[in-house]
Amino acid sequence: MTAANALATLGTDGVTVRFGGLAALEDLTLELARDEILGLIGPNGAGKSTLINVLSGFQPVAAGRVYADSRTLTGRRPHELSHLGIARTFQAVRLFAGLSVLENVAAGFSGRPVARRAARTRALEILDWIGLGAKAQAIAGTLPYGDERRVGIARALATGPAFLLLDEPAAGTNEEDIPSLMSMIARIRDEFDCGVLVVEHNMGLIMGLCSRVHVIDHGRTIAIGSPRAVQDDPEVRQAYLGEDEA
Amino acid sequence: MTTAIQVIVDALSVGSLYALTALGIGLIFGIMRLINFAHGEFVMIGAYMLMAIVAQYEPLAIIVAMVLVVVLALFSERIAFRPVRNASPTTMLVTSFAVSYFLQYLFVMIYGARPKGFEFLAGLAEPFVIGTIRIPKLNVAIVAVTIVLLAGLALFLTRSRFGVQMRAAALNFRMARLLGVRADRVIAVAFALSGILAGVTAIFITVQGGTLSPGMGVQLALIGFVATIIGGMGSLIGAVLGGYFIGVVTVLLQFGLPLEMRPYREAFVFAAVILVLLARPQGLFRGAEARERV
Repeated sequence: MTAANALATLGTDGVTVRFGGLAALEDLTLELARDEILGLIGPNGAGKSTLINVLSGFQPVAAGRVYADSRTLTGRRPHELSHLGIARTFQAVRLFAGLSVLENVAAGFSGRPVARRAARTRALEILDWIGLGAKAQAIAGTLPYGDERRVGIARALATGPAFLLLDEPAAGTNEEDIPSLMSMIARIRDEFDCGVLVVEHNMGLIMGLCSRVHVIDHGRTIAIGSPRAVQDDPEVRQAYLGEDEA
Repeated sequence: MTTAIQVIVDALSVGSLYALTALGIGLIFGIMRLINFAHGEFVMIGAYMLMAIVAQYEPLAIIVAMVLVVVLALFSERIAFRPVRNASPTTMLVTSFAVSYFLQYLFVMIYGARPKGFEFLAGLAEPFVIGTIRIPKLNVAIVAVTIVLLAGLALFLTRSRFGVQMRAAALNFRMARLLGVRADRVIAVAFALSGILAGVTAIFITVQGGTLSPGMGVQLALIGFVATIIGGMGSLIGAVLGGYFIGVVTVLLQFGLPLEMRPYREAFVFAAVILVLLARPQGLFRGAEARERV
């Protein structure tokens, strides 16, 4: 994991993705630093999930480059990127439904030189840390939606990432549980020493958590800046008109 | 009473052989969505290997035959199945038929098509006699060995690093790969395990039947496949229970059918299978996430 520990930035450089004739991402440049929590927002269909797919190797690009520091990662497969320290979660969490919560998180150590017992111990530590230690033996398929998402994050953390890409971590979470989710994500950066990219529709979470926000619409960047600056940006307001409150 | 006990032991031993076969097919299906019809030929070749080596020493024959079947399973994965791993399930299915026929006719070429009589471990044919009950030692051995194998496999799948990786891969192959599970390795382990199961099945089938023929594995693979369907594809426990279900049905029919209808026993077995699937198309014990992998 020395390679992962050394990485300081992950980004795309002028990436274009087309589905048929339609450009899902157009000449898009984004950079995530190891020490930041970057929010990625935009109206529905703006290309947020496509961008996460590009960064994690699930989506090939038509043009442009994916990189970490000076290494070009374009065209690398998802499991190769995961091994390099790029972890992600999914909107549809995708836990191993038939395995226990503990086994799910322990499976995150599969690609690391960690013995089985050590993996279990460390998986339990992560689960405790994330507030689900008491449910370690539960079968993952029986968890409520919000817990499922946390286990998904725990499993991604088990791979020892330098960068963690969270696809809508607050979906299905009650409004009163949002603050604890926010503080958990904030602590991920500090305690796991990894940069976090958050795609989220919950603006309270984005504005309260992120040091920087990247706004895209129709596959293009329309604003980058502090949460406050982005909120006041006329183009961002325009993009969100009539859509945000949906 | 006496008959009841004998029927139960019979049903359990026939069911055990089917369960081992279903498990061998189910292990591989779970991970790579390949229905390996060549599993029957793994068994057939195991039996022929026993015959080829037995002249020397029986325990040695067992060990060598087991090792050869495992090697054959790994070899077929490497040569035939790995290149089509990412192809459609249909392509993989056709590949497994090709491997199955290739191995069958390879053995027709070497040993001829005619069945060969072969007595192996003759001592197991003797019965235990308890009062009026006579139970073949073989049946007891089959049930006992199957229980040990199932327990060992269960321990492996739940307690070992590889086992957990295999179960994860069976539930969601791509996600498992993303987390660092090595695809080549888990698939190879699955083939090795199915080779071990085929080797054990070969020993018992040989002792039980006393004749070998290149086509001897076909029926077995078919029943194993049907058992995994009845159990609910993707569920290993389902495959085992499906195997026992078919075993019990077969023995009950053998016992209950009028004498002149017994040659058609299999027709009734498969009619029962059709009825089960009409009632429960998803299988009796469908796995939590048996959907096709995406």
